Amino acid sequence: MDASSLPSTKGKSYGNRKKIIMRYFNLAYVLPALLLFILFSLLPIIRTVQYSFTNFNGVNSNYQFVGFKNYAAAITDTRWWEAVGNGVIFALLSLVFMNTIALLLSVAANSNIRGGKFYRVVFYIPPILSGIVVGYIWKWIYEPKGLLNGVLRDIGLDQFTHVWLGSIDTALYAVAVSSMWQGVGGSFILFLAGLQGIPKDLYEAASIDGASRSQQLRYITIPSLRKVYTLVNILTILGALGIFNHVYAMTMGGPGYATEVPALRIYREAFTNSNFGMANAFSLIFGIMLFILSLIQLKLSQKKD
Amino acid sequence: MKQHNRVTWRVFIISIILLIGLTGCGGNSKDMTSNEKPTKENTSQENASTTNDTKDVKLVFWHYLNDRHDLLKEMAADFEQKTGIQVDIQLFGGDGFKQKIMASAQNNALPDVMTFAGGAGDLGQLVESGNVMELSDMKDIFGKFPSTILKTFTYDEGNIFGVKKLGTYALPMDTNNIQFVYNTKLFEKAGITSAPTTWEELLADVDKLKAAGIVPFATGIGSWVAGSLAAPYEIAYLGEEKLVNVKKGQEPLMDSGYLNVLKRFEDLYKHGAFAEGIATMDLPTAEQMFVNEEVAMIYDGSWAIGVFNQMNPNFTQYDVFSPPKPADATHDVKIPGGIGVPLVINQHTPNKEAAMQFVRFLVEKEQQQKYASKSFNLPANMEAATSEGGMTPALRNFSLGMNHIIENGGTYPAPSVETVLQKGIQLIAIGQSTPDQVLKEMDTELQKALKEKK
Repeated sequence: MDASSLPSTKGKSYGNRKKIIMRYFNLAYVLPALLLFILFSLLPIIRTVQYSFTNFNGVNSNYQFVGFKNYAAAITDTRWWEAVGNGVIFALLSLVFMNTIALLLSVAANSNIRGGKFYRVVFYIPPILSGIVVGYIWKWIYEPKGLLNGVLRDIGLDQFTHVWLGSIDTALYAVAVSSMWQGVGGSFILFLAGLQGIPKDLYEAASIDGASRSQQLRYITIPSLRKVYTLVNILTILGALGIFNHVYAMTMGGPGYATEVPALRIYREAFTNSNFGMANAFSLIFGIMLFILSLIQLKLSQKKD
Repeated sequence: MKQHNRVTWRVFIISIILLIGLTGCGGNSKDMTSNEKPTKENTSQENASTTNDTKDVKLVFWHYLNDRHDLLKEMAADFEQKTGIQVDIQLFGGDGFKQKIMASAQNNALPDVMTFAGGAGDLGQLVESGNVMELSDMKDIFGKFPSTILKTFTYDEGNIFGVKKLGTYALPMDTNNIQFVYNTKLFEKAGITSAPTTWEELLADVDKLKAAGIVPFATGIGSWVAGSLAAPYEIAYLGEEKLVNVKKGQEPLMDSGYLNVLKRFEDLYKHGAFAEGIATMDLPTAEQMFVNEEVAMIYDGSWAIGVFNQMNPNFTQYDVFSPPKPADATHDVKIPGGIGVPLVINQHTPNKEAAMQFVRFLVEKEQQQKYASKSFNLPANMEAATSEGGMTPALRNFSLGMNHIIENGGTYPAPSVETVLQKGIQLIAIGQSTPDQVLKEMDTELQKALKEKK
């Protein structure tokens, strides 16, 4: 070894050490966020998994390990699958109606209509309200002598008045309308952000080529919004399947099981039946279902791209 | 260098996983310690509090009594004036109060004193987890309450809830019972001169009310009230002993006569007794309809008098009748009732003495008289109950109802059976299910619960 090389080796080693120290130092920046994530997300998930294999009742810590018993009971529970079915109906209705309305509203608000900014604010008011509050407002609207039936009577459509929430034929759809009314603003904002990212030149070129408004919507706007649409769809599915506040405020899952949804069933299992073990098993099964659904949706959109 | 980085990252990730694992696994034993034994910190706080001047103490009191919030604040102010102990009265109205207590108990975040919402089985869970205080230190005032009332939250040897930490864990602030309340003016309008005494008379009255264009009946069938409305008829058809055995699974549900209980709801549906929207109706909605004179009858608790008064102080034309007995029922009808508002003390409160002092204050004669006269609820302290005067007919009849309350209606091995009953009643009330169908579903759920309990 050449003696002259010694200082440079020393320097290299010092530099390496400094880099390592810096790396650890950089980790310190993410540590607070990491700890919060561990404390409030990861740890509860681990506890959920842990409890799902026990007969924990929610308060007594003397619980026993019961293996896959809760999972077996959850999977064979027909009422649970009915609740999932109701959640799927909510999701489908939201995907079709809520997102279509949100898209049309965002296109309208993005065009140079008078008061466009005002509409942007107005459409985003419902999502910032509490779900429980919205649920109670709509409950009042749907009451037998409520606003909706009152309006129908006033305009001479007495034959269409109905017990909206008290009938198994309409309760689910009535709750879905209230949920969509609140959710439309969220999708609207995302679509609007997507629309504002589309270059104006595309529309100008299309317009020079003689494309009509509907053709521009079909061939420029919708294809350009594909990624936003994927995001909106995923959020809509997750939101609709996880619906709780509206159902809790309006029907408590009734009449009978007509509006029972997965989140309400999990809540009931945990806090009414004091069966936290089972509630956690339901939560995990449901969480996995949502994860798979989101993954499928994501893969499908990537395939299209 | 790359190799070194990889090692660093691996060490870091493994440390995080180990940290999570250790925290996750260690939680249980930590819970047990904190729930069953007071921690050093708690103990020292307790000792400190007993020696400290009580004037420094501030108690936190949780309750769910929307209509009595101001009254409780007033009583807390009186207590502070008398003792120097501050009480922060916190209202958590609505049906989720029980859930709030259960969730707070998990984190040892209960207040010093609270009203409890739930049955003896629910409180039993908190007793077993060491969250609530046994009240034998207050034995000197037990004699002030009716013994049957105090029994509700007293766990004796061999109690049906399997509670091993025996003793009394709640004291009553008031008593209550649930009966039919009717609008005397609307009854008169329909040509009905007196309250029905038999089920058949009730159905005849329903027909008369309908004929007069009056909606006969509303109650909170969309919530817990459905089960309470079934309770008098469970006793009437099965009797207390058989009912307890059926609920325990010692006698079959299917041939027990329970079908007759469900058939009474079918009777009401067939006679068109129910108000529109009954299947998802909650009690406050039904109460509002009753006060607005939109319905002639409501099935409600004695606390409703206070609620009606708050909704419309001028609405006084109503009276009370006990659930009428069906001709084919072999037992007397009894009504659900007992402790209206149970007062419970947190086992881990650092202010035990002050908490007991506040509970004693709430149940003493003068406070109970004030509470009864201002809230229209039945006092729990017998000295106050016997000395009260100028009661309205409705309050008097509710008071008399305390002589006919169900002493032991039994408990199903799992609350899910009650849920099936409640949902079933909702569906019968709108003609979407039959008593046979609901009974079968209840039996399936009961068998499942019994199997799980084994």
